[in-house]
Amino acid sequence: MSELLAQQISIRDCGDSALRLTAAYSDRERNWLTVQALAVWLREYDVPGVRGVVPTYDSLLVEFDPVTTDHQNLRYMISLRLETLDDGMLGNRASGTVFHVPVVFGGEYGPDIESVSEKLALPIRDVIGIVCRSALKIRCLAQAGAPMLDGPGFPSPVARRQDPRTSVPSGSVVVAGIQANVIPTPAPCGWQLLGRTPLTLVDVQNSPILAYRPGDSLKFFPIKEAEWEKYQNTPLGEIDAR
Amino acid sequence: MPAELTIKKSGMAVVTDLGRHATHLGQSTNGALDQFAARVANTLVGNEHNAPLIEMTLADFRMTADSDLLIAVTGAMAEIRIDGVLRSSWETMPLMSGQLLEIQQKGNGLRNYLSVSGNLQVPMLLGSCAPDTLIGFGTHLSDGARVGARHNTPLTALKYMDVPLARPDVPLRPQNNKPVVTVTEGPDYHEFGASIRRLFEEKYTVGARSNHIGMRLQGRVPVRQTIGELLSTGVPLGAVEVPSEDELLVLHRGRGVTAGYAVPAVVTAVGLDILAQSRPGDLLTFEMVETREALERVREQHRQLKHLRSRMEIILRGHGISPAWDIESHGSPPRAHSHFATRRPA
Repeated sequence: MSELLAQQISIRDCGDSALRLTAAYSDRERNWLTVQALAVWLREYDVPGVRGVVPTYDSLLVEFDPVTTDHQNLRYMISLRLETLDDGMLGNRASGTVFHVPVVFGGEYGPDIESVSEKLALPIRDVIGIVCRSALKIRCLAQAGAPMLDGPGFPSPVARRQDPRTSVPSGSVVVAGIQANVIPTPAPCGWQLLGRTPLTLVDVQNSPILAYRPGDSLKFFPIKEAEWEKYQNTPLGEIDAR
Repeated sequence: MPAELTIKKSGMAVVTDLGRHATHLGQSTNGALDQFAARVANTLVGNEHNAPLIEMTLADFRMTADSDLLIAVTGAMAEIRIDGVLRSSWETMPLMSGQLLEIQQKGNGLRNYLSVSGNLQVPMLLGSCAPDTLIGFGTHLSDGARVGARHNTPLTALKYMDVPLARPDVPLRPQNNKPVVTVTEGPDYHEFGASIRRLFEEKYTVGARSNHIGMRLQGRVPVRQTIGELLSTGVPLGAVEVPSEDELLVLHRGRGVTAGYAVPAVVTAVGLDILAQSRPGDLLTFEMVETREALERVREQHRQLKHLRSRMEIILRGHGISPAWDIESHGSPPRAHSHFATRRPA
């Protein structure tokens, strides 16, 4: 790795079967593009021994079979690849598909919307307006395939709940800090629950089990409770902008 | 001819394999928690390492089959009976049509693996049958359940000799209630300052809330010296986290793929198998090794498995049975291919 690169990229051992790469450019977008592009490369070129990749915001976990390959070997290959990763290739990841996602906000679907509106000193209508204003980019896939999103442009970050919920239903639209997320399957959650979508995001009966990837975006739009059933069996990607 | 297994009593049992490799889709790995025991079980009956097999937790299991099979039981200490006759684990046994197989966990360890010659017919997701409790997938057995098994070669030559077919030399780990688990330095080791020493001085009690997602270990924990929120990062199997002041969390094969905690240490591949057999109340100590040493140990285990396979090749063929494996492969599970490639060309 060149000296310049070595200052920005660190690769650490993460047990006997994984490495963790961290990008530390001053430009956060570049960090994200770098780890995503490397993840795509490791998968598409089917690098021998690599079992899995988990790219997030500024880091990339690479899991491998320690019989087939090892840390030294993969570190060397990744370093060489980084040298030739140019801006054009990084740009390919930057713009993706926009999926439109109906959400019932407030009430039992989004019990935290009132407290969030109080903390932000904004009427509930404006909170919903901000959440639905722009498409939110999927930065990475978390537990069970959850799309981790850029947060909506609230005037200030939203704190987590003091007492995390032991379970939120699937489809829950949640925010915390400067992030947002849609929970695909019932799970414990400490984020603020604003609403819920009737869409099924991760479906084990389907192939593919999920339709989005990092770089795509979700654009929420409000629906009434009475419209829930109308959207319930609609696949993500078949809903047009309202 | 397909065989059918009838589960008379399931206890806590699932059909699993070596796991799913789809972390890029946010999916957990899962699969047999004691990977070595699962690989040995499959090898003993002539199956590929990754063939579906039955994983039992605190085994309390009874089963019959409607045709002659080879079976093997590995993992925790257990009392095994075929038609009432006491049998041993870690060996290849014939189970003739209609005979009753009973497995009762007795003594140390937590999980048993039962392999059956042929391929268990169960639903697959992304290249694996491993149950995933987060997304609600997998074959959980219940009393009266029936599972199909497809033979590669019918066991017509198999004669019931009232003794096991083979007991090849399998190097076994000692099993006791004071497990020693090897770890390597984690990526955030240095964020814990001198307090990291606690990890190696303390004995940790395995907590009752431990499961396939994570092991809860009670005792004095190291304290992160750096403050500040961490962005979510991918976490490896075996990641040690310190989410509270009196408990460690060690992520096992069912873990979510990302987390926002610092990782002071990572349990080795061999150590994860030992964790899989530890149970609530066990007193556990960590032993630090260099990454190089950890690699050496996992490769040594691979050599043992390879040797076992070549022994079984000879033994099974001697009985007129062809093993299912490709002698060249070493049993890495096939990877789930990207669905993105088919969805839209780049």
